[in-house]
Amino acid sequence: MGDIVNKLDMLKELFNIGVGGAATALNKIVKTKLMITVPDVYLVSASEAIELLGPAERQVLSVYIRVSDNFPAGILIMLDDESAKKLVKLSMSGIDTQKMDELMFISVLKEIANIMTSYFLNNFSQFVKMPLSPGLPHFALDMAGAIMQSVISEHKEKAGDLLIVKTEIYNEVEKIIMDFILIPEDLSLKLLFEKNV
Amino acid sequence: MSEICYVTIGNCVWEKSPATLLCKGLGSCLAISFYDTERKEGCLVHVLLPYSEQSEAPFYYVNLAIAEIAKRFNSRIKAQKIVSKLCGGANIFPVTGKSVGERNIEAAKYWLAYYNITIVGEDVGGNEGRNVVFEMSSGNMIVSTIKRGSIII
Repeated sequence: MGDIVNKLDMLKELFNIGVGGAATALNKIVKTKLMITVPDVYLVSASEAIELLGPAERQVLSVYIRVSDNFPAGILIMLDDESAKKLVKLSMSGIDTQKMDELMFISVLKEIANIMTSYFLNNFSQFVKMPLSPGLPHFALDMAGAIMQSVISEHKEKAGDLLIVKTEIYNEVEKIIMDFILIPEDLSLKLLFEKNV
Repeated sequence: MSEICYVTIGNCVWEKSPATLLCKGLGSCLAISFYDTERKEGCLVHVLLPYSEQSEAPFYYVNLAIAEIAKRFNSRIKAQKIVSKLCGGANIFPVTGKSVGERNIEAAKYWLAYYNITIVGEDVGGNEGRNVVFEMSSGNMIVSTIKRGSIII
């Protein structure tokens, strides 16, 4: 049991370092100070995982990025409409975001997610001692439950519990709240723990 | 208004009229209803993945769930008139190759045909998440999405 607790603590710490990088990158883009919460690690069933993010029918914007095949995992960035608008506005200083069309808006969000994920993986790869690269970012505006469930089904082949690491990146003044979620597959967890324990 | 029972992933709930069953946030998941039109009873199952050999949690997989339910219908009700409705299997994030949603739909159609269960309604595929309400009193399935609103199948 102690062994598992140690492993989860290690995962939490690695994730924290990774997210630190992602938040710093975002910091530079939006030129606003952002805080991160202490990460939470959950070992839950698929149906519990969906409830982690609040009501399943809540409408959210999200960007999903798949991590390279040598470390199979999914990264999901989820935020509400207000936070997304604020982020895009701050990152595109000098441009009137009111006039921006939807495609452009989505593109900016995807790029933000891409940069954050790259920094995250860069930090993370130093610990897993292999190069990690992000896949293409995919955008969706939908129910939180449906998004989470679709990502889970991409990274799960069997019933049973899955591990989810989650943190919040936020700025209270600007009212930005963003969920940064890592869903590592079993193979990745094995790699991670074997190389570092 | 009768009580609404929430069907979570990997679960199957059996009910009779006038109960109402609900699946929230269906992405690539499928909700499959089985309904005995004469007795007004049946079940709703919420499956996640298309196929597995054998599992302790059969309702996570399309093939095992349909097999299990067909078996239960035969032993319990001996009804020939079971009808099924399918909903979900969306492809929310475009992935390379065949998406889990598409594979779920294919598997469900294959296995329902295998057990001679007729599909009387479906709202599958697309790229939107769905909420599904299944009314035992009428056998109606009310599907709602964010962009499209509600439809009845």
